[in-house]
Amino acid sequence: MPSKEAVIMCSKISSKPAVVVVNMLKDMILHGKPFPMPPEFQEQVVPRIGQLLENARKVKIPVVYVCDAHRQNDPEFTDFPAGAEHCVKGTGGEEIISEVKPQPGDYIVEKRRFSGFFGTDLDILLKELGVETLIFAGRPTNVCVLYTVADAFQRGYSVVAVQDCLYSKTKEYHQSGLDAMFFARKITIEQFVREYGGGVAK
Amino acid sequence: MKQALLAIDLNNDHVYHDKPFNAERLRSKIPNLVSAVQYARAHDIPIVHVTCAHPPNDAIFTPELCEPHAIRGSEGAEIIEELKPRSGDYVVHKRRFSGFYGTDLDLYLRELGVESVILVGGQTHTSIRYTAVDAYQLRYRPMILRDCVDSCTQEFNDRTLDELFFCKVSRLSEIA
Repeated sequence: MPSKEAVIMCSKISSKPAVVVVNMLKDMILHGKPFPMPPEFQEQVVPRIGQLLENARKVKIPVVYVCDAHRQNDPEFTDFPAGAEHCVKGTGGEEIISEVKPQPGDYIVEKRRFSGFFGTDLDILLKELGVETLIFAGRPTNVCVLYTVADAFQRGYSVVAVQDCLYSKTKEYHQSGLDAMFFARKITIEQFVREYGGGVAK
Repeated sequence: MKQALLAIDLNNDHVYHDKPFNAERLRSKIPNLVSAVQYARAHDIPIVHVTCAHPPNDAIFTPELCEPHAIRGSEGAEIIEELKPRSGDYVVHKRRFSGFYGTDLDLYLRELGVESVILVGGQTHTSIRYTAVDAYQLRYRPMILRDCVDSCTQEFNDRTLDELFFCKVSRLSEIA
């Protein structure tokens, strides 16, 4: 575990929230690209993310999907050894999985880099919605989620990570992603329901 | 490939006053940091000191997050004596983890035609990590020198380096 001084918890009370759900895409979840997710993601985490989104909509919290949408031959596929083609626009692999399908009124932001803020209109959208707090779910905790959370923090948003609605390719990477977010408040879906309402969490 | 050396958060508060993180491990890297800067000077690699310079009331100074540190214009915000900028070096003042956020770092590197950045300094899990990822996203090739960075704990340092798959992680002894 990291030393106590390294883990400074941000316990700010959150206001004007939006839920940001990262990379719930067919290639990444059904096709193992660019790397396979462990079975517990699909079995346990995906249904919880579905509940989180349902809750958010019920209490009128905006839902924003942040999704990889690459060009063909995006250099990211060959920049590093772990790279592989994924979520190319127009292939169908870049579509959101049916279990957490966007509903009318939700927002979708396409990205080409790890961070949902990089080269996208995410910041503009959130400003237009008057959002001050971002509540995160999705995958992978230690890459696209972490870098989007960090960018949100750098832009002055309060950031909240719903720990049991996030995951990585291993439990260890998931945990190290959470540990890296020392500037984020960590909650569970139950806490979300308690604080924001909704009521479908078991 | 044209390179630049980014010397990150090597100011008195971060290095000598343990603000906001304990910097004992980073202090042990000062001799290597001095060598890295000498190496860059000897090879005409531009040196950019990327360092925190906060207003006194910066929004990140909250009881939950961190105490005030590296206040613009204070002794704490000055680059440590051992690495004092020389004529020809460039200094970029930042207020967040990433050296690219809210600064002219990208503009400066573009003007120089830089394609690859070498990151040294601290801390691995904060400013190094988020500057490296922004460098990658901006299509610079980031390289981190393992023997010239550190964090408040070895675990934070090692786990971060293990997760930076988009970066080349090397050592000064390997490139010099």
